[in-house]
Amino acid sequence: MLPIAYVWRSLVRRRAGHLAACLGVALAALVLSAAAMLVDGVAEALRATGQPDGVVVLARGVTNEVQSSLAEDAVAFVAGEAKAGPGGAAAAEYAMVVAMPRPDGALSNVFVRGTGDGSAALRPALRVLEGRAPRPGTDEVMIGRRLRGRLRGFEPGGAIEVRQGRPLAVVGVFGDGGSAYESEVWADRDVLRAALGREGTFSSLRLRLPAALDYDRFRRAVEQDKRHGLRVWREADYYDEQTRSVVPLLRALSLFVSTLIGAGAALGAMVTMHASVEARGREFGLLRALGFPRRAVLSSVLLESVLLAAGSGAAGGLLALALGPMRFSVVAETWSELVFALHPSASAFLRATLVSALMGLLGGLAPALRAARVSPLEALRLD
Amino acid sequence: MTLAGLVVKNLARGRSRTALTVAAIVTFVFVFVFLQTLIASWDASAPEGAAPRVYTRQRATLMVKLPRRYADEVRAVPGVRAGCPLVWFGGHVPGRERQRFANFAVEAQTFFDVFGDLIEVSEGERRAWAEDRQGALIGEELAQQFGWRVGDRVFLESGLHPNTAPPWSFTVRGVYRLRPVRVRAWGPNQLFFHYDYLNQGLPPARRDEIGFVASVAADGVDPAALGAAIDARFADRGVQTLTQDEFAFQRGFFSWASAILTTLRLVSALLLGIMALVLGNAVALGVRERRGEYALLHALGFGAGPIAGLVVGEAMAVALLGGALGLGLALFVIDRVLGPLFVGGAGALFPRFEVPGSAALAVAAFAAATGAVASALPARAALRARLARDGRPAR
Repeated sequence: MLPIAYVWRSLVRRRAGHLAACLGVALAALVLSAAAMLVDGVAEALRATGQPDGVVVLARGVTNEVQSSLAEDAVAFVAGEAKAGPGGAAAAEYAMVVAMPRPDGALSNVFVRGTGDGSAALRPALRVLEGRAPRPGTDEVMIGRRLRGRLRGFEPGGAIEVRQGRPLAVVGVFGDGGSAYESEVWADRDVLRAALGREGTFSSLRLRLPAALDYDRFRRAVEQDKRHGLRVWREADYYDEQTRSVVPLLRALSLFVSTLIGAGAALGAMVTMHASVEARGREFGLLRALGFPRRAVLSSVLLESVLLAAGSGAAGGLLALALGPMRFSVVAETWSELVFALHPSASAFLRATLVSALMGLLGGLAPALRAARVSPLEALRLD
Repeated sequence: MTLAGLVVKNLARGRSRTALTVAAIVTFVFVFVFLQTLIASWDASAPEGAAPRVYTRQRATLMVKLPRRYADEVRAVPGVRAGCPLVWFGGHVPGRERQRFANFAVEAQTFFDVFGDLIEVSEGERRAWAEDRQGALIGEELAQQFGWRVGDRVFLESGLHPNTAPPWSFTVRGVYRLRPVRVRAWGPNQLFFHYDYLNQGLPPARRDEIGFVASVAADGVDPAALGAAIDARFADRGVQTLTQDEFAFQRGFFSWASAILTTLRLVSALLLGIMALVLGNAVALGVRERRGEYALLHALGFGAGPIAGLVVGEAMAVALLGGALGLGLALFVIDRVLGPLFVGGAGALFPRFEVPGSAALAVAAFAAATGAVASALPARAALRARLARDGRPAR
């Protein structure tokens, strides 16, 4: 094995040439890292939402609250089935996506949840961060943390409209531990339904079952009643389903694009290593003449390439972390915008560095083999 | 020997380097074209020469229905030549839930009054569809995807419109073609059936509701003004409306993609940067190695123009060659492999997935820009090369 000092000095000596390759790999790593953090961010926001013991009842055949429609008697039926002892809690809600204008005038779909008395109790992590909670039965609403400032009127003291000409007052901002609720507006259920002309319908019934009631028994009892056509979900499963439509697509797209960009950057790094090896033909010949075996030369060039790429990749990954404050939104199953941040993680950074090192390995292989094949005689012949 | 000839010879001298650089550019251009195709698929650009249609929906949200009588009231508004109510059915073929496509219940009598300029069906098929209450009109690509022909029986299930009886069943009565108008949201893979059949199959509590009304403005009527007039009519009702022109309406369908589109455009710009770096690096290496030659050319009397031209020419040649190959590869792969994959797998998300016509121009501009940026610094270095007294390049 050649001394590490040699590897290091070779890298540093041809600074100018290596810089361009470095930047290329760093940018590729940036894209890779950012893409991975983006996908993680979406998945994280959706995952943090379900309560482990939470249950939600929707109409059969739909996979989200907005498309689900429950009649009053269906809600009463389910509430009846859920009464088996102390410890339970329930809230019937009406949820709908409503078009509201952004500051630039473009319309954006916002998830508005018409809540009842029991709604807040079912989300134990919910806290009012600014202002206050809306008074039940009034035109007051509160907005999730992630929506603050993203649309017109979305700050405490502002006003938003569901029905034109009847503004609703934004009195507070709430947070819920990074969950999807933070991209919602919470209003009074009856006020929301009246604004849309949908009095008497519900979207979902959220429950915490009493300890004495077995989930599977409850589910069977509710789903088998043919009059109402209902489906019972565990909250964790429900939110898993929400990610099904958009996360795999995002992941596949980001993987596809990142891989290709990475391959291109690796090819660029190969050009650099190739030139470096060509210029140092005499050097390698001398090393071989001194007695170093072929594999020592091979491994040292490979190491150079890997260090170059890994270092650039780490730089790119670090830069991606700086994107933390940026907010993105994506529309999930509910056709409303889910606002999330890039989820910075050690794993995304490590992944970027490792993939870059791999790029360096693949890109440096051919040049390294070429360097190893230089015979000692060449060194004497080359000018 | 011409300057252009010199450029070619220099490129051929470093064959492997040239090949690697071209390969890198091919990769980047392929990604670029793929991104442009994605953007074009979701970007609801203003259609060329579309009929002045407007769409009336529930003001707050497309997901809540309008009362059926709103269709007649919209038609009664002065300035409306024809109107057709539609309902987004949201159905899928049982057993093939992952293969989504758009399907609508429409008012058969007025459907072609509003969409006749866009959807083309033979006279015989049109009449057969009108006469069969359970008839369905399907798009060419949908027919291909599922292997349906006129006369076939089709079953659909919908979470939004559950049928208490056996599943919704239809008979294919016609296959439609789209006229060549660039209108994004209406694709060649949709299904249209009769509103009456849907209405009578729903439980009584959910009958007589429609999703939205598509209407055509009479000649000389401004769609924006017409929209305002329609909305004014319902402003005081329990259910308010929002009327938009086709462009804005389609925007609503694809509004979900707006954030992703921004990201894709950003990545495209970043690609330019990476490509310029890779190309610039390769060109710079070549210039450094051939410093002596450039110095010699200067000594022989060649001016800045030809010397810089050699460098810029080299960069441009590689960029344009890579661009052309990358574009060709992308056209082939997207046309044969990715296109059918996207439309077949997620037709509701991707009504079309074709390389946009502007792609070739975009690639040429992209490659030229890259070549120019990449050759800037190396050209400067080449211009400064001088010979020392002993005939070797000066350091």
